[in-house]
Amino acid sequence: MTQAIKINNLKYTYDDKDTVFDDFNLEINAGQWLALVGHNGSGKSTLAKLILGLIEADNGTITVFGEQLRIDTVHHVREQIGMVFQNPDNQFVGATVADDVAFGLENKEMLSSDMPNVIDEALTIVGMQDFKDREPHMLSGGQKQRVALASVLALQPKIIILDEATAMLDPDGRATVMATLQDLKQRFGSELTLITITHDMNEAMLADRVVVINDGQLILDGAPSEVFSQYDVMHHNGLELPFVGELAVRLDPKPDGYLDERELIKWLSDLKK
Amino acid sequence: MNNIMIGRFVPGNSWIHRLDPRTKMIVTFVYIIVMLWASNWQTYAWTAAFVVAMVKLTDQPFKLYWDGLKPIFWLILFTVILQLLFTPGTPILFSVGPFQVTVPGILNAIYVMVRFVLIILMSTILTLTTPPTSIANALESLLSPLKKIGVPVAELALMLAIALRFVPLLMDEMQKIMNAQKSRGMSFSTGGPIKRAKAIIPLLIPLFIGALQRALDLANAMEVRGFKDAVQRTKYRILSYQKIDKVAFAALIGFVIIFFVIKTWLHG
Amino acid sequence: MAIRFEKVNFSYGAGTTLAQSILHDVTLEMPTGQVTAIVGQTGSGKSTLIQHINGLLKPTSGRVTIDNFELTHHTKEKELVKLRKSVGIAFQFPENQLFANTVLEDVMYAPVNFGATKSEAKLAAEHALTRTGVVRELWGKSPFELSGGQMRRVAMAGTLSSDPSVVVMDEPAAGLDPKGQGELLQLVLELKKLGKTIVIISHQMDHVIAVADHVVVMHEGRVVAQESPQILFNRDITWFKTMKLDLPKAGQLAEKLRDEGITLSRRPLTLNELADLINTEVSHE
Repeated sequence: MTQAIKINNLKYTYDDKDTVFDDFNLEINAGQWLALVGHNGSGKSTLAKLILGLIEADNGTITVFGEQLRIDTVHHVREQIGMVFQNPDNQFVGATVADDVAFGLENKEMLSSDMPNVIDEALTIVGMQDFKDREPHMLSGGQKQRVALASVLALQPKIIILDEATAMLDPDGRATVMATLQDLKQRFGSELTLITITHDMNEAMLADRVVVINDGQLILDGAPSEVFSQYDVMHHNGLELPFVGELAVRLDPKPDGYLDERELIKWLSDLKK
Repeated sequence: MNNIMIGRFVPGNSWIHRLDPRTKMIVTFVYIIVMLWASNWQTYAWTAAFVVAMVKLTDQPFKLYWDGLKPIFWLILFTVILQLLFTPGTPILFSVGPFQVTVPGILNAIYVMVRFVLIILMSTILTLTTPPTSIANALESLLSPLKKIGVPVAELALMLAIALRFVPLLMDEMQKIMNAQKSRGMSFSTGGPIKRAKAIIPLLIPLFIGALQRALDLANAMEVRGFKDAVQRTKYRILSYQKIDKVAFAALIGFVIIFFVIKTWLHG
Repeated sequence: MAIRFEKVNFSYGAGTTLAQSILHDVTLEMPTGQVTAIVGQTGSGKSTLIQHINGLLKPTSGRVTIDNFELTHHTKEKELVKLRKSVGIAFQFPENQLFANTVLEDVMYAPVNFGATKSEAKLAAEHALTRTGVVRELWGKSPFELSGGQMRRVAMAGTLSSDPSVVVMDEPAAGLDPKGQGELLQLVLELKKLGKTIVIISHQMDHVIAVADHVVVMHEGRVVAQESPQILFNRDITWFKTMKLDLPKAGQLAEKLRDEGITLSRRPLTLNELADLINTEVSHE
């Protein structure tokens, strides 16, 4: 299995004061959907910035598809990774939706004549093709984040990181972005490695693998069902279980281990008989 | 919510809308320079006719143009009064205190007013039919020869484009911050002048800090999308002159020629 | 009744060609000393509505009464200062309003503006900061040195420091993690215990059921329901679909159970209600 991202002995101190990461290790396989969860201040967004070389680690290595992240490789590494940030406005560069998607293509020095097709394709994948000429201040938060996804997709990255991309959205916006992500993962399968950083367990639930961090430490690492079985550990680290998990814990009798919504409903149906 | 768009661009499909923004800028520029040479009623009439024709071609209700004139109404009035009171010559119509209103004064006043109005109308035609980003693109293209003397045209154009994109957002932010501070008792109408001036700090600081944070975030986003510098990039929107631009230039040349013909033939 | 809207209409740019009509014939009441939640789709007029509570906006027609203060189209700006002393509004992402050199100074802004002496304001500010959970060590720091969560608390304190009798919050949980959300709901209940009238705009029905006594539902600028959360959330599921509103998560799951043939005797609105119902009715038949 190819390793998309390999983090070794990562050390990072914020402003010479708080040590955020100290000997942190993590391996992410290609084609995985990883949810990185933690409460606000747990270090999860810092990790994303370190992976993209927006901030520099004090020690340790970050390797992306076999290439170590360094000053001379950072531009090439960034070509493999796309990132969607939390604030929908603060990453929207273009005057219109199409212009924003074009921004990355312009940076890549793509031929102008090739751009319209690439833009159309990317926008269609996220369902925003009808908004091509719309200005950002006429879009909702969820729409802006989908445009951000399109801008990233247009550059055909192998990895997409979403850093709390739904934190500032209303429930509707959040739902459309999550639906778009699921769609993406289905469409691109193992060609796309997806990393969602969040504190919302209902989102984390959609991933193949959940990593819980707190104070820069790796607390739990496993499939959602494994991680969400650990009620006490989760709560101790400032997190809740997904709704169905919180419910299951309060049932009597209760199921062994964590069940997702579909499974819990079936379990209850079976119980009734 | 206040929806004051810069220069009040109104989308449309008129001939003028479809012109290349560079064409419109060049025409506006040349027009304004040439019309400053107007000296008699015939030349004024000709320049006015040109603008009126253009206004008609934009296919927009005149009310929009009127809105463009309203802000400088007082300025025009002031200048008109100056002309009325301070132009010497004969015949004198009547006196107002130490000032004399003369016939040349009245003529000058009319000419000055017409000039103002025509210049405003012409610029309004430009901003009404051209989105701000097109104006920015046009500027970048027209100023690109300056690159040879070291002017960072590409950087400035990118800065301008990004700044323009954020104008509506910043205006919204300003409104929100104002609401928040007003809710906390901010008032511009109490206290002496110094107190009132200081009252603006709770508006400016959050706006400024917000803008800084925005800039930092944006820089990160741009870097992550492969931005290295403003020069090593291709462009999505390429300006290219079409047939109607050639027609527009021909019309401009015709306008200028006839203008000077009228001017010299009639020794205004 | 603390707050009353009587046939309020509001349009931006009323009387011009660009008039945008936002509120239509709004009549509602928000009871004193209780928590009223305002819910509705984005664009239904909620933010416009709350801005009438402290006079940031004045009705185009109709009247808003806040305790004894009457707000109409003709109310003068200078009369509004009095109103704003007793109505505190925390807008969405209130940390964007911070500006002062120190946390304490920022929280003192409101009381000082409303006529308190420096020492009175300082005391009020310290009180408010303690209430929102900002530790003393941070009071002398610049607000911009703090974390996002701390800045939010400082901003909240800034709204509470003038000791308003009405506290309005627009999406106060936006951007908060589960722990932060819990603390916020706690704060709301504490403020209610102090006798304040609370108005909250929220998209999260689980928060509404947790703290609200009264709910106003807005749809396209009109009030389509005003009732207790218990009554509201027991409305037919089709009504919710039409209004594009969610049920609390417990209710949503109960609906899904019903689709699978498991019907509970009543609709649960909280997690614990759902667990209890399942335990009594499903597990032990």
